[in-house]
Amino acid sequence: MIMYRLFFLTCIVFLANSVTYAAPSERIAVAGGSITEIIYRLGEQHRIVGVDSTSQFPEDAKKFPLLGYVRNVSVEGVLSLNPDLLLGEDDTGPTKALKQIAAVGVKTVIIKKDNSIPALQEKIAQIAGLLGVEDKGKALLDEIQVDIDALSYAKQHLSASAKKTPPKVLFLLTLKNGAPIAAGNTTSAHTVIEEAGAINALAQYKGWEKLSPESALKLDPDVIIVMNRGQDIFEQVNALPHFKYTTAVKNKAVYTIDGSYLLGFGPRTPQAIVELGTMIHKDFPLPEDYTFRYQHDVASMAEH
Amino acid sequence: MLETLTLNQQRSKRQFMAIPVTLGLLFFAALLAMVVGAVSLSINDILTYISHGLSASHSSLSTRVLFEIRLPRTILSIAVGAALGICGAAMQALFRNPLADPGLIGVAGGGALGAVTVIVLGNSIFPQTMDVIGLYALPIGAMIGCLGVCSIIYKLSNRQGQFTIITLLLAGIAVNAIVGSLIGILTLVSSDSELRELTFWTMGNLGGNSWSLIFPVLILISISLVGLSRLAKPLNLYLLGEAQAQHLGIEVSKLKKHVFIYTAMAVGAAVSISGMIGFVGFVVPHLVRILIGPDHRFLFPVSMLLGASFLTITDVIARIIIIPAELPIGLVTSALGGPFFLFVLYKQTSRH
Repeated sequence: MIMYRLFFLTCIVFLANSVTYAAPSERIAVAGGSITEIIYRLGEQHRIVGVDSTSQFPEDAKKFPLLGYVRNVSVEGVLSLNPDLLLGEDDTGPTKALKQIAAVGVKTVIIKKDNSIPALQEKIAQIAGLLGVEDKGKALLDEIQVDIDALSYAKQHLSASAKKTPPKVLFLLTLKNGAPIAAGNTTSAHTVIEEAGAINALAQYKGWEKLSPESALKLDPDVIIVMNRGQDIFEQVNALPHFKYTTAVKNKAVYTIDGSYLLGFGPRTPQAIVELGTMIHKDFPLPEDYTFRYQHDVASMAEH
Repeated sequence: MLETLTLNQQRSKRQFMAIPVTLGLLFFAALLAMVVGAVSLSINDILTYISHGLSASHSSLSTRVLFEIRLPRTILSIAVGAALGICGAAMQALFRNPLADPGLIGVAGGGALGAVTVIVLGNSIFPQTMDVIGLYALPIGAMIGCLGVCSIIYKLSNRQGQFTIITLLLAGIAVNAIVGSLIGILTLVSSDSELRELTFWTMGNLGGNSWSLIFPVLILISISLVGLSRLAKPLNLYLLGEAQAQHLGIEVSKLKKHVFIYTAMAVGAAVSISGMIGFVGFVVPHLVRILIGPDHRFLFPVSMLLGASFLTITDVIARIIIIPAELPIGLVTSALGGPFFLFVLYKQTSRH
């Protein structure tokens, strides 16, 4: 009889334990802009207790206590918010701080970074799972599926010439100090350019590269995209000796787009890629019922 | 004559007072460092934990914060501050120049080179090793860099058994320049994320270090602190001039080598774990010399204690000023120490 009772008790203890383990986190410290954005889109922002400085969208997210820059979070700072989950992107650090936070007993989940659309879908599903809102996650995934479908539709229906010789796109991080920094391969910008059915003019280099005037001229991009909000972006690009004689400037194919919208790999990124496609290609075929759903900096759409 | 005598009397009074005063300051700083932080703990809590802390299991959040985060951090700040303080004093004695600091013998530059190499090339060149040594990779890299650069400078200035200060200085400057350009090259090829990591490294940070990380550092620092303290008397004689010291029975080149090696060891250990923390090693011995004079028997322990207290207090400030985030400590030491030092200098010069 005693054995039986003991067994029963153990079962209950185990059950209780498993229940507490599976309980979704209620106090979340977030390190990573796209994660914050996803939590907002899941409608679970009331569970956030602190964010890092890359969490700039939506505007509301800036009101949370700031954990500092994502690569440099402080151990006690995180603990003082009393979170039950630290949810961070791949670049959360320093590593030794994360180890200490985990050692103190805060569940720490670092989401592998791989800037691609499948990884984004996985990220949304993982976060929804951690928060115990799988159905909301499903709804969000369905929502971005519209953009992903539109992208594949567009790629299929692109004109034959665009398919055969896709436009060469140069993506610039900044034009400051007359030293443009451009996206090579392994960057998130490279991924979105390819997703938009174009090729990266700087694909043979790795990472973000500072361009010299001659090498920029040699690249001769068909389209230049600048991650900036400046109004007179065409003038700025035209003023640089790097680009003065490129096809892009000749055709006035110089555009600007918001960085976190396009490169953040949050829920808005698939739509941003569609928008990028409309900038790069003169004719970017979209399904008839497709509409842009997220508003952003409209000025950046301005064409010259 | 009378003036000199009264000055001496004043000095000796100050010298004897300085040790207990700085010791008290250090105690206060350590207590502050234990009590103040983003997670709130009261003095009562701490006393209870300490009284039956070691026997009780560390289960609650506050005990864990105290024993696994705050205590190691405080001890590290004391050790690093002490090392920087005394090594600065030792370097200024070695070069017989108050402008010297441990950077001259390549410790900081070598550490930076090692750390930057690990950050930028570590994962691509030897991924397996990085996996095995994990958290230790960066400190080990920095330590190897320190030792490497220091030993090159040592070799260069130690030819034919002569260890001349002028060659040491010149070799240090040249090797530091080379190291600087190597760091520049590595910075250029680094990716965006690596660049950010190494920028933060160069600003210094005492946080996030567990007991297992700080333990080797503590050992190295204590060995060289003891070693340097024993050199106080010969260094006093050395200040008279190399020839004079030689005549008084000091083995000058051995003395210089010892100072070099102990300093390289202590500062190398400090740099390897906390990154670059400028200014402390330079300004603390200065301050102490202004207050109590250049006698190394007092200058060394007081610089050590004051360096430890200064770094501990700045670390407290660095971690509470923008809660829940944290400032790199290197910024705070310079931002606080600089104006204070200028103030003392101004006072000094206006008196004459």
